[in-house]
Amino acid sequence: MTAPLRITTGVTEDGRARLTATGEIDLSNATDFRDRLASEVTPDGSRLLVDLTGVAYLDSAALAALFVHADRIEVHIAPLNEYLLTVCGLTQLTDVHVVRPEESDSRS
Amino acid sequence: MSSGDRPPAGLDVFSSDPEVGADLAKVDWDATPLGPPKSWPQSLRTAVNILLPSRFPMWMAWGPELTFFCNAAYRRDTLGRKYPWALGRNSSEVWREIWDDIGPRIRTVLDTGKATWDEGLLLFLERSGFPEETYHTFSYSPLRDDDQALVGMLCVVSEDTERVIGARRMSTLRDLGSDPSVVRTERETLTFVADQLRRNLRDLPFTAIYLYDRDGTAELAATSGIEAGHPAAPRTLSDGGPWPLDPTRQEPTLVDVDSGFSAALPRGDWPLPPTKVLLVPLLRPGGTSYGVLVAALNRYRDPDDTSYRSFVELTATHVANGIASARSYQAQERRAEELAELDRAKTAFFSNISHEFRTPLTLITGPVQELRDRLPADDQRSRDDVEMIHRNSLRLAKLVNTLLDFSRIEAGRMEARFEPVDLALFTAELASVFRAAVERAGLTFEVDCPPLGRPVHVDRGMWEKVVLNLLSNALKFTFDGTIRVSVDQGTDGPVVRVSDTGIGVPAAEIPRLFERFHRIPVPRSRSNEGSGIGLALVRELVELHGGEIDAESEPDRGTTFTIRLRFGSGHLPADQVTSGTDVELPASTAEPFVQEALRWLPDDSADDGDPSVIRPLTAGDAPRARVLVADDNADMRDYLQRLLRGRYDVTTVVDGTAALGFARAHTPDLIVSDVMMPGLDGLELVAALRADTRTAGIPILLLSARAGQEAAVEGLSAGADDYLVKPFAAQELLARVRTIVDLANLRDHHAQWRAALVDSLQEGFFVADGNGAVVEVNAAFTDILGYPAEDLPFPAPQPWWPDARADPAAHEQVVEAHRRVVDGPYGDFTVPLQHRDGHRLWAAVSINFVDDGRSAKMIVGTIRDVTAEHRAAQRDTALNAMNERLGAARTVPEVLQAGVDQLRRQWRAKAVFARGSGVAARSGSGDEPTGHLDVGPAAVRIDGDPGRPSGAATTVDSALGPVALRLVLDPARGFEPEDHALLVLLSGSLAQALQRAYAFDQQRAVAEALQRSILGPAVLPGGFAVRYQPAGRPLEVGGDWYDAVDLPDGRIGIMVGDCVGRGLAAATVMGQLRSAGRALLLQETGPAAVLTALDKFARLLPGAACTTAFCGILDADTGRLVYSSAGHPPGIVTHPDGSTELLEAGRGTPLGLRRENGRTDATIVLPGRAVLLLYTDGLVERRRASIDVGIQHAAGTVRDHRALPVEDLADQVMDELAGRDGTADDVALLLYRHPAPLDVSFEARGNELAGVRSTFREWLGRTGLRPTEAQNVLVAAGEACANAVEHGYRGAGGRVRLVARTLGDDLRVTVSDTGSWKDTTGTPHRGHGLHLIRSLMADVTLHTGATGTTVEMATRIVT
Repeated sequence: MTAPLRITTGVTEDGRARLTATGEIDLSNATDFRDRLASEVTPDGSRLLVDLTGVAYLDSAALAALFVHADRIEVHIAPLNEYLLTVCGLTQLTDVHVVRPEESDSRS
Repeated sequence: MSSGDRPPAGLDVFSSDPEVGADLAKVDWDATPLGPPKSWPQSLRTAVNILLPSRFPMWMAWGPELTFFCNAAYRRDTLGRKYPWALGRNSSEVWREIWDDIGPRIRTVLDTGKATWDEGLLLFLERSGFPEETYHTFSYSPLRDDDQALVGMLCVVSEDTERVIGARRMSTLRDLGSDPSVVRTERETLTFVADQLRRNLRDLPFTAIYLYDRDGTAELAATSGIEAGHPAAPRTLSDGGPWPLDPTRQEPTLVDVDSGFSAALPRGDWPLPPTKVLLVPLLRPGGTSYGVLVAALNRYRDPDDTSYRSFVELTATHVANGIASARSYQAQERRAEELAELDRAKTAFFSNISHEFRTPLTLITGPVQELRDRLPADDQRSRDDVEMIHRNSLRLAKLVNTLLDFSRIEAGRMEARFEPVDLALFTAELASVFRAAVERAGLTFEVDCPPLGRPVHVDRGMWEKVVLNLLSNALKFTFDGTIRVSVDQGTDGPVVRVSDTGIGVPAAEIPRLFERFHRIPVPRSRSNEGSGIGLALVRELVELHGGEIDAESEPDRGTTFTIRLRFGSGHLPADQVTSGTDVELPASTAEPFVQEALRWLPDDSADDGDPSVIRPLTAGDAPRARVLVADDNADMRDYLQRLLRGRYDVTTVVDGTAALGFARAHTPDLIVSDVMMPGLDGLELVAALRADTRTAGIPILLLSARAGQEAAVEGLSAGADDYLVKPFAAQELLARVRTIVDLANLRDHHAQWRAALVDSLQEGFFVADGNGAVVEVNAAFTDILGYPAEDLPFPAPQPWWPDARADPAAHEQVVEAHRRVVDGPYGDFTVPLQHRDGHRLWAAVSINFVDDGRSAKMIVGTIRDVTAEHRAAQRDTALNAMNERLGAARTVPEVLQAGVDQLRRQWRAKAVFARGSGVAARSGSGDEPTGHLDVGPAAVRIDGDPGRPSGAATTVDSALGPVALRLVLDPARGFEPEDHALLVLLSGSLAQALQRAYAFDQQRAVAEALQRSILGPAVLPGGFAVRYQPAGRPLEVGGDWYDAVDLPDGRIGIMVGDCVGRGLAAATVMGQLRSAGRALLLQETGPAAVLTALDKFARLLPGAACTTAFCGILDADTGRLVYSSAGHPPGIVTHPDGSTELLEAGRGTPLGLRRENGRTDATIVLPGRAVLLLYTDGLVERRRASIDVGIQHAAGTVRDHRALPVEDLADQVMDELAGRDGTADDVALLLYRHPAPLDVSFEARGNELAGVRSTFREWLGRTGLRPTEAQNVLVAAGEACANAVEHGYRGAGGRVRLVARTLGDDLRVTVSDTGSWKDTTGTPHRGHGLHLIRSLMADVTLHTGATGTTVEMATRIVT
């Protein structure tokens, strides 16, 4: 079974491009994620909002994809993965927002 | 309470217990002094509310009639059938049968307001239909009404019956088993058993042990609590009773005693006699029985109670084992007696052969007698020789006669002729023949024999021997003072006394004084001669006269022998009594005694220089003496030769060296030497001659030109016999030479005489010089050690020393002894020596310093072969050492090992091997000899030279079949016949110990095998560990069990239980309950339901009642444990923070009891990393300690070691609580750590990862880890898995394994694959993998090898 992952794209309220992933990202589907991310990132203009608050698991393959586009994305994650993104160093390269459950509740 | 009824007014006071409360409500309270409950004071209502809900057994009495209340626990434990009748009644009526005991106590409480406390009080309760022996610990405390007045009392009780009775039985069994090695004979064994059983007249009011004799009759062998011969314990059991007898029966028989007979039975420690008797066969290992134990049963206990039965049966087992052991010992003893019998036969043989000596002796003494008469009066020398022959033939004849007397007495052929004799006169006459000898010894001789007035019947010949032997004995050991003979009139007859003021006999030796061949060691005597049979013969002879003899003695004060005879002849055999009187005087018998005695005394004539002794030695009779002349001056040589050759054979030499050579070669009778000579001068020659024992005795006359006193002194002090200054007159020289030669002849004569004396000594005799070289020995010495006088001298180290290499210890002893010979202190010692033929012997050596008047120091010594005595002592020591070693070993292998170790030590063997069917042991190094397995006869078989074997083998018969023993010996050490006997003896000990150990092993093996077979192979669900240990001693199967089984719904059924009692019966019951429990777990919905169903089953199964059990159903996913307990000790849950919790809810009664409360389920959710411990009471019960202490100990042990893997934890708990030596009870234990370790393996494919992750995430949830931490572990493990998939196999296929477990606060994860990792540096983004893992986990190690890669990671769980 490949890890369950759903990726949607859209636009934020303030008009920025948004990529929303829900599920898990691992070896089996990291390629998908990387490709979708690459296609949504624009070389110039505003940063892409990568919303990973619905991602229960992501491994180094997913992180690698994020690193590639670090300067052109802003990442939203659930508290569960905060430590992971901190130790891998991504928080130092890009904007990472930890979205608490009530925030995501209110937003959804 | 009937359902739906509202309680009537006021009855709500009983509502806290639905059952007892309901029955209390039914009481007609109006009829009691308390009145209707609604009118009760608040204090009473409060008291009832304390009572009813309590789970401690309680009862209370309230009001003027002490109205009775109790709660459910009291009802269950104590009240029994009296419920509900007792409620609301007067307490004195309820407890009528024990009111005498408890009434005064209650009164005291009500009078003083002070609580009482009684521990283990014996009370006879009639709760089971008969007065039952019970023990209770209870406290009475006062109850007050609303006005603080004392109106009642509350009793809190706990029943101790099982504990008290169990301890009592344990104590008896323990005492019975105490040190079986001390007990020797069957009689001692039985006495010991009876003594022990007599101490427990409660469980066994009386017992009688019957043993079957050869023809199958049951003979009474021991009793306790009953007199032998009592109608219930007749000396012999016959078919007629009182007890049925069936030797083939292997099972116990319970006998009901009819009431008439019962009344006559001893009551033991009880007020009433027993009504039932259990007959238990005393089974021997083969199956038949030695006999039967008749055991009266305590009428105050249930005769069918399993534990009571097994107690009695175990007692019988102890008795049977004791008898088995004693009989085996007896067999050993019989063998020893047979050896002693052989010894007696030897004596008989010697006695008989003595007879053959008489004829030649007669043919010696007769002609000698004639020769004496014929010899010319002036041929003194020949007369002396003939006298010597005469004396010695008399002595020999006396010895032979004494031995013959013995053989006659022994054969009952002593022909006495008792005739009336004037005993006083006759005795005085006998004494008178000794007068000369006594007086010559310088002693006073008193004979006090006034007439008795009537004759005494004696055999003259025998009486002579009696008196003469006693006198001879007195003279031998008396050096000054008096010897006295008296005859008196005693009360029953004449009393004859022979007393002396001699050296006396130590008190310890007096009992052995009359023992045949026993020689009392004495500090001093006139002679060493003696066979040790004189006094023994005296006693035999006196006893033939119907008399008796005894001795009183005090060392250094003297000895008195007292003989008591009787007047008349009624006590004598009529056919040996004659009336005639002979007047023959003592002569023939007396002479040898006197002659012998005289020889002990100094020879006056020699001391006086009586010429008659010297005369025969003059030149005329003797061959010419040989004189050696040494002078360097030829003229002087010629002169001396001319002077001397008329009388002597003269040889001349020119100097000292030549003189020394000649002297050594020819031993001249005299050397005449000049002092001044070239080379060796005269003084040096003297020194050299004196230094050599062969020439030391040659007389030397020195001639010198040096005049003056100093020169003479110098010459004489050098050892010369005389000294003549040149010039000398010829006559003077001749006179001096003649004197010296005569003196030398005299000295020679003395020397010869001394040599004869020395050679006649029975003890070995030797003389050593100042360096310890032995220079003289006698014939006995040669007999003892095998080295003849011809080989003298023997300088140290002497050839009879044990080899320093083969036997360093013995060598060391002899070196020390030799040092004493040289330096002192002198005295007696015993040393190991080696005979010339190689055999080892032990010699008692006595040495003394002798100043022979010359400058050289000499040491004389005697040596006696004490090998036999020494061996006997050694044999005892060896046997004791062996028994001590064997006693310390328990199992067959231990015993066999102890046995071979001791055998090796005993013989200092190179190695010892033992082998039998299924057992083997070795001590020492080297290869096991081939052919060793051959089991042969018990006799000792020898390898190689019989005297110096390289090995010895024997076979031990034991319960496990023959065991071959093989000793690899050092041939240099030798192996004597005594060693054979000792080896057989020690083998016997070993056989006996093997027998004992075999029985022990059998029991243990049976116990363990049985238990295992019932418990079955444990295929346990994950996370569990179980242990079972049988009771330590006596080893037996038990009734404890555990079970953990996967249920169809994925949960796990758990059960731990404990059946009452021990032994096969308990184990069988346990097996059935366990199977039933398992079946029920698979069917039923919950633990309470399982236990309720088991209740029904237990009621149908004899012996199952009162089993305690804990039943639980565990959801391993959630940690939810539903459980219910049937009277079982509480489970212990240890939380991750170290706190412990007892599973005390869900409690119910033990299984199968008729009074049933509804069983309930309780629930606990085990948090992650919690440990559950279930056990049976053997783990936590200790004598003299509360069970709570044991439970706390168990909980503490789990807490302290909760970081161990669950198997190690189980070992730790067993080690700390069940100990090495085991416990008194058996122990079952079950441990579970939540969650069980996770162990998954999956195909190395990327699309497997999500599934594994899901399983792992779920498992992490169970550990109690916080979600963020769980996520970190999940990611770390996920990375490791991904690495394994991507790098380990690179799509080639294979499996990856993920294992995770918690250990205390540690969480450990291992991911392993069997592939080979690609270098990660080539793929940059995967570099994050390891980096991430290390960031997320505390401790990461990576092992990469040919067989694959393993990533281990751990993190500490923070709670």
